[in-house]
Amino acid sequence: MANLKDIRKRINSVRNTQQITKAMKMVAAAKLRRAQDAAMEARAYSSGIERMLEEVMGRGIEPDAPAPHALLEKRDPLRHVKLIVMTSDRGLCGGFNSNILRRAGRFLFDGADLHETITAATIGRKGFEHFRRRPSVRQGTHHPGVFEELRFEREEKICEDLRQRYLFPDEDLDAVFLLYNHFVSVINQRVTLKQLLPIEPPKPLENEGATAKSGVDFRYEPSREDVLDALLPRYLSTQVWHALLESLASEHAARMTAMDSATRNAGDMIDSLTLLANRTRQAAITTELVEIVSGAEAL
Amino acid sequence: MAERLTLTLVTPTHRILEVQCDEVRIPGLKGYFGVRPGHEPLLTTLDAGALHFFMDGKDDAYAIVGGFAEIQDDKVLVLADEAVHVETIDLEHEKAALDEARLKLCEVQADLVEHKTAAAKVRRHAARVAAGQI
Repeated sequence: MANLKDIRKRINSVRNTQQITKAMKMVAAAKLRRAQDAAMEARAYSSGIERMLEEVMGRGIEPDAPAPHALLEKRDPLRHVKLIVMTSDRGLCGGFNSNILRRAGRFLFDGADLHETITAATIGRKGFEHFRRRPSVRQGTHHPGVFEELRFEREEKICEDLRQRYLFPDEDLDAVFLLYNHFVSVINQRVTLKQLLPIEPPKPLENEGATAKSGVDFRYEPSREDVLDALLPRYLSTQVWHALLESLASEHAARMTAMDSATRNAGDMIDSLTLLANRTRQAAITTELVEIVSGAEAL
Repeated sequence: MAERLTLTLVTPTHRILEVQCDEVRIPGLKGYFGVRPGHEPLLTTLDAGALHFFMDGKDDAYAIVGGFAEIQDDKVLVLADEAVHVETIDLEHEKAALDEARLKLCEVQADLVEHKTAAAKVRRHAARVAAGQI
């Protein structure tokens, strides 16, 4: 049986861990709030871009007409595919990264027959480290430190690079997918696979207002093609930006939940250890008493 | 027809403002244009410049760079790449920065990436100077 001193020592160490997890939970909660605010602020822009694109795309374009822009053109077959995996830089956030990476593994497995090559690019350190240990997977570009300081300009550069590679005929790239955690709620984050390139235009909202408005066409300046040409890259980068913010919020939410349950588990452990400690103490006292009594009786 | 315009200015990271106003002047790609209530639906790309708007005899401005504007039903939605309020612009500083940026632009070769960034810098500072001078 463990002696009292050892049990007390363990209680102390668990208590220390509990303090750390509690602090981490609080930090994650604060960061989550900030990430959610940032996502809210960004939503106005991305929904604006989406609506404009809908307007430009929605009119006068036949469903089976050739795509009006190279970025929209569907390629067949998809020979070379790139998967961008968005993970966090740090761990201790529950299933956040493992969920993503498991899904990525499935994508690579399922796509092996469909595509000639699949390249795995990463944003976030955890994903990079994961794929570095798997030499069988074609390694794409790793973008380090994106989450350390989220800046739109930086993210836009990544997208521009992607776009150019996609359009450049010699670069072997037929489609780009993005895998990230979508923020549903604090306790629920959904792994989401999104096709980035070719661009899938937003689906027009099937409500009354949209149909009523479509009677009037816009005047485009300088021209419809120019507006579309400027809008599409923007649409791409706002999508990635949106995913970045969602992923960051999800990460903090996942960490918060993980640390919350860790704190609770530590509390349970302290309780049961305290019980054990008290029992041991009582047992020691009882033994001592029995010894004294039986010693006295023997006299 | 509504008597006033609703102007919304948004950047990728922030919602900058939403106001009621009587007239807006927007730096379109083909030059500045004014918008008043009853304007036809318009979708345009933007140049760098001053977004100038008027309400109740007062006016206010932002220096914006690039983006899009949509005008529909007396609602003006401006999606700018960046926006700086006119009051936070240090005109002297911006003028100096503009000169410096122009010099830099002359130095770099036209086919380099640096040329693009230098040109963007000129546009940004020129927009701020323009807004500052209103």
